[in-house]
Amino acid sequence: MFQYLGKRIGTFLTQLGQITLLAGHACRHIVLRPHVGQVFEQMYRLGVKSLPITTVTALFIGLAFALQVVQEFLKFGAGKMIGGIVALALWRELGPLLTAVVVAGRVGAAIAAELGTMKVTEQVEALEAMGQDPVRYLVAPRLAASTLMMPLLVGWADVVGFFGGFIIAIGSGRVNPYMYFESAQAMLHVKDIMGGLVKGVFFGFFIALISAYMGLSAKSGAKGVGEVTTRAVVVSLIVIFVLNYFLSTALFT
Amino acid sequence: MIELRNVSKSFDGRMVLHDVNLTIQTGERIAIIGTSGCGKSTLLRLIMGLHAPDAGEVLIFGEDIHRVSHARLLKIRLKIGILFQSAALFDSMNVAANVAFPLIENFNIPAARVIDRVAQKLELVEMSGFGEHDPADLSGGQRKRIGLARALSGDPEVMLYDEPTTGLDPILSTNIEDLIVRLSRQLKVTSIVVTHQISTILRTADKIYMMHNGTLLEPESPETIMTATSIYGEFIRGGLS
Repeated sequence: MFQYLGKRIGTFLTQLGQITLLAGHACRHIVLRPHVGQVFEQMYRLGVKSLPITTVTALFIGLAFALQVVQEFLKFGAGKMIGGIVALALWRELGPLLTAVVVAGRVGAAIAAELGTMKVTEQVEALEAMGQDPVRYLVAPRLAASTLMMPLLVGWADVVGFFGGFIIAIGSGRVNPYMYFESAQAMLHVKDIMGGLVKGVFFGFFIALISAYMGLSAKSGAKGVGEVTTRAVVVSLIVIFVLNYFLSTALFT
Repeated sequence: MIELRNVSKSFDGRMVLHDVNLTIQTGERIAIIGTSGCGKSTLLRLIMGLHAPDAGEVLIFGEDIHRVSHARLLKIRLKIGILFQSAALFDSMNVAANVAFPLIENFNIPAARVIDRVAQKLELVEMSGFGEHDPADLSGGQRKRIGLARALSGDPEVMLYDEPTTGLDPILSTNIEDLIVRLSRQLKVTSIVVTHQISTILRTADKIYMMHNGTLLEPESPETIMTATSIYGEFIRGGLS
């Protein structure tokens, strides 16, 4: 029992050390010798191509959340606060968190599967053999692109979700459009908007880092690639939820 | 040119190479044979600097590649080309982009010259006209040829071939073997072929080494290996039977 636990803790600490080294190595390349072409390509692949799924998710989250809020708040005659509550919930928590979940599923899985396949088919070794550093060519651009694009996706999701809430609020026939925006303006501060975007930066960084690490540690053919892809998404989701709590504590309390 | 001195390497506690010594002169064409999993590919990866030895030195052009800086190692690697067992073509790029990749990333060459060089290398491996194809659309033999063109695009002084004919039909194998010999003669490239294919050994090498129990045995020539009574003979006859 103790031996098993000790082994698991040892493995966890080793992986934590390796992932920290990978982060340091990749960040050095991003700052000192970025592969600009690859960064732009990854910004398109990871960011722009995530727009449709982010839009749909954010719109329906906004609709569903406003549906609950509108019903309950109108019961208590607090219709004036609906816009503000929807805006606060979206900008502070729902927007960053749900965008990160969607991106972890789409982008994290894609990074882990792509790098994992490259690893087991000797493409990563081929890169090294051709005088390229795989961290500079493969990891750093994905890390930079994900970190840069994630806050933009979060910002977009916030706006779309708020619009979804607006449709429900107005559809109820008991909320004035002007009132919806006015309460949002009164309750939402720059700190809330910036806090949500900062969360996006952290989420983007960790999704790409964890997924790239998992991909590069793939072994044993297709089965190995499948395993690291699953692990990349699961670990990314756990890290996102844990990190979200600490970031909310630091940014909003 | 290439020298391995007392090199040992183990994986997960299993000794794969034990006290290996090997010297290869410029322009030589050698084959390294042995059973599957005996450490032949590991030897190539040590020469390429993709694995670090547990003990010993790997000298390439007089420099111990496991003691030089990472930046220097990347420079040394540019003088060595490698054809991987799976060809290791980049799936995200077409054939021309694969061949052009080392030129674009490593050498400051104008685009027009890159295009010329790519065409020239594709012609060398008899794959002209395939530049726009995706690697996924090619057969195993074609992939190996493109892998070879890519490995040769930087005009390396040393070529490493990891199981270049494994899994290919006899006609394609012969084509690849002819190509290895032709390139070695035309471009004066030092060649190291790792294989367990008998025809490849006999047709591509001047000197044959066998890896057995983690060490390299004394070399044989293609002329004497067929009649050798040693472990070489057993391997070849086993392979032929």
